[in-house]
Amino acid sequence: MTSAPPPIPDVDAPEPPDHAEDSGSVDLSPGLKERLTGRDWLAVAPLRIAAAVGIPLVGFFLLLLTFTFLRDSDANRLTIVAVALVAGVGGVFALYWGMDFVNNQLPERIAARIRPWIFVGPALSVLALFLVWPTIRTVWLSFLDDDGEAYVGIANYEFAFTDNLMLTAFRNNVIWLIVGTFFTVGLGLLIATLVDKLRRRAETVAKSVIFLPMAISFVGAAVVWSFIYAFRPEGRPQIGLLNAIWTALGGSPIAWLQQEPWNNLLLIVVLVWLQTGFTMVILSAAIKGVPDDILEAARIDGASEIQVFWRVVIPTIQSTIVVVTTTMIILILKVFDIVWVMTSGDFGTEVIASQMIRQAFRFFDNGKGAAIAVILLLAVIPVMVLNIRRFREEEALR
Amino acid sequence: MKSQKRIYALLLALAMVAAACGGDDEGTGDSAAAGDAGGELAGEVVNVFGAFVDADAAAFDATVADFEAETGIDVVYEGSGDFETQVGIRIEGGNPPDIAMFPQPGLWANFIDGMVDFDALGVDTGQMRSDLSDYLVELPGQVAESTGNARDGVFGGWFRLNTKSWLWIPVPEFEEAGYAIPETWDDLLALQEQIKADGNTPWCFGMESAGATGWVATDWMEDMVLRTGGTEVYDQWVFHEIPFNDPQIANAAERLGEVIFPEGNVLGGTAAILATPFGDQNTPMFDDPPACYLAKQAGFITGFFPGQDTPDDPSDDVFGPNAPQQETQAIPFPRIDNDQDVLLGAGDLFGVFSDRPAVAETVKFLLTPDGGAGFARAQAGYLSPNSQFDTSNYLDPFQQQQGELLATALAANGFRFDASDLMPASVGAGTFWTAMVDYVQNGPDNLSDVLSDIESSWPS
Repeated sequence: MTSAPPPIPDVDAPEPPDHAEDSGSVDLSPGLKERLTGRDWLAVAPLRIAAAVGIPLVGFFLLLLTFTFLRDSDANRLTIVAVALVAGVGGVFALYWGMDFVNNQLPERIAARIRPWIFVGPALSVLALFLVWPTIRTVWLSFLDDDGEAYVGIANYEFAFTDNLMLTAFRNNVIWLIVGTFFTVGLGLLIATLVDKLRRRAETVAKSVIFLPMAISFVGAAVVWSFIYAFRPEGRPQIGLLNAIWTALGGSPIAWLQQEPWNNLLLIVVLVWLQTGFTMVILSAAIKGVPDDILEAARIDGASEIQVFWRVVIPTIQSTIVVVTTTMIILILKVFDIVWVMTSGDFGTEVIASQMIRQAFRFFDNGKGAAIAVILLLAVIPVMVLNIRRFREEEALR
Repeated sequence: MKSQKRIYALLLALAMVAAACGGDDEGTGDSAAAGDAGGELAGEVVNVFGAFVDADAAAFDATVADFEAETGIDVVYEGSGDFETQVGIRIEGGNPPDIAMFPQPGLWANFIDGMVDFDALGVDTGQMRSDLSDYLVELPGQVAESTGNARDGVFGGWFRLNTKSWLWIPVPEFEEAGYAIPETWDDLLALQEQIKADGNTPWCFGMESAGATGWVATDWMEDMVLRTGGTEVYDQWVFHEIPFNDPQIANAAERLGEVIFPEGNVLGGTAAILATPFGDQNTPMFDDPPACYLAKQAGFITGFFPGQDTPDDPSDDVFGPNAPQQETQAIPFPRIDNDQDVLLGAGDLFGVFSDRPAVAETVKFLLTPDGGAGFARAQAGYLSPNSQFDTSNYLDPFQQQQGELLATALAANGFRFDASDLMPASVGAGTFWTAMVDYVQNGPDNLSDVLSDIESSWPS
């Protein structure tokens, strides 16, 4: 979820099959031109399902067989790794190749209609198995008790919206959303605009430095920042950067992460540090894409740089800003690692995701955990819809 | 990225499930290796699954070595750092170990339905009661009942215990300053004042524990309840026969507050209590002069003392059999209002999932006084639950000191298991933890709110 949607090539895409006959482009599937009889459809429909469901099943059992075989063998580790790699990668390749080969033995008018199902179907099936089904099950579980046995109605949701810690978590998530999104996108935009004015070399260096934290995992960053905020009793050596500076300036050490509610902002700083590089890179690319002639025209018309920025650059890159912002919102809704590592939700820093983990995996309360997951899902959906709709509009404009 | 990771995790889980399903035929594999000893069970394999790993796992192998040589049974121990999750996967996946060692009785109780009654294994449970104490034999059943898994019979045996109620003091500075070892709570409070009057700080106190912050304070609370109310109130509290905000519990928490809140009582004040990792708690005590004179923590804390992390080089040790000088000493936590010989602790409880004769023999062996002797000789941190255990097996004087206190407490029915581990997880590892953090952070005035919060969170 941290990368922008890839640009869709708009020239070389094959035309939809229905228009294949009256288009002049290269004909990839001549078989699609032939009309199918009702009997043909009787063959096509089950074969499509077989391709979509059968291939993953066959693949799974082949992998299982290889796994069992390798586990029970006495060969040395390197041989096992080598065999596993060859069998795994080669096996999947052979499977697809073999299926395509089998398919090609069918009459072309049928084969052409099954081919996409062979290649895309398995991916969709696996997606359904691992994403769609768990989602449905989570919704179902959220209406059951902690063991997933008895129906409890909306009790779990009632808990989610009345429990003290849950309310704190909601409050904090709102703070995270507003402050976190504002600063990641705002700082990213500011930096992207400013480095654009730099000489090429300096721009590269500046962007690299700001982008670097992106390479650090959330957990790693949280550990690093835990040391920055670390607190030791007065009179003992301060191992935390912030307290070292603070005490050097004459203050007495402060347990930064215990200062409610400001500690939430201190945690958000970590996210901003991590993600500003991402927003900066995307926005910088968009700013570079603003046509020079528009900028020139604006300047000739006497617009100041600030006017150019607000009246020309921003409207031009608006769609990128929306994409970056929604990506940040989704990321922040799911924020967990930073809180879990740095305060584990103590001192009023609990967030929704950490509550979910706590309920489901520490208290073994599947019902409450699932209910919180569903709430989180519902919160993400509008943002996703907005993102996708935006993306489609843009595609339509091309 | 995130969703991709999730898919990988699911695929991994699927592969693990596949591995668990395919593993049914284990157990007869390398039986030939152990087959040279005598006995009709020679060659049988008994799988033991537990949470301890590395040196502890090796110590377990050592403790069954003689038994294996004698009977020809091959006891295969497998430890997992992820035991809590893995044990459920194995048992619910239809591939349980023969014996599983649970660090938490609550987790043990979840799987009681698949366990074999010790009577059916031919274990003399009467002997077990006299060896282990009635309390230890009955406790697992009580836990099962309180978690809605009640079953008649004896399904849990204790493999090892540990002790919690220790007060650490710096020697020789403690004696040089003329401080007396506190026997009662009033002694302790007087000692606090004396230390402060000398311009020193009485306590070192650290309860930070990453995702588990709170347990140090719950241990404190447990010791306070046990010492103010005795074992009777303690048991009522654990099994929620009295509410969490009962005046007797509030009294215990107020006593705890007499340590935490007075100005200058704790090094760095309450902020430091919440920010100092529990393992670093005692370190300032080894300063010269000591930065504090009192600290409370379980026996395991010795492993966190400075210098103890290099077993090959004892020259910088501050404590233990090889230390050039004992710079600290453990004394039993003082009594409060109550004359019972009480001791707080925890331990590993095992359940048995197979009634094969070889498994039964292994269980019987583990319950004998010699069951843990090899473990005790190999690794510090082992305390036998068996009152007949030969304490000369213990590695060092501190183990012996703990062993003696444990035996006394068990004999007096004063040993009690860590309450937070016996309470429902949403309390014992949830609201009890967060509430104690709240109490320490926000001071004595919010005590009644804190306790009511826990009470209202208790699952009905």
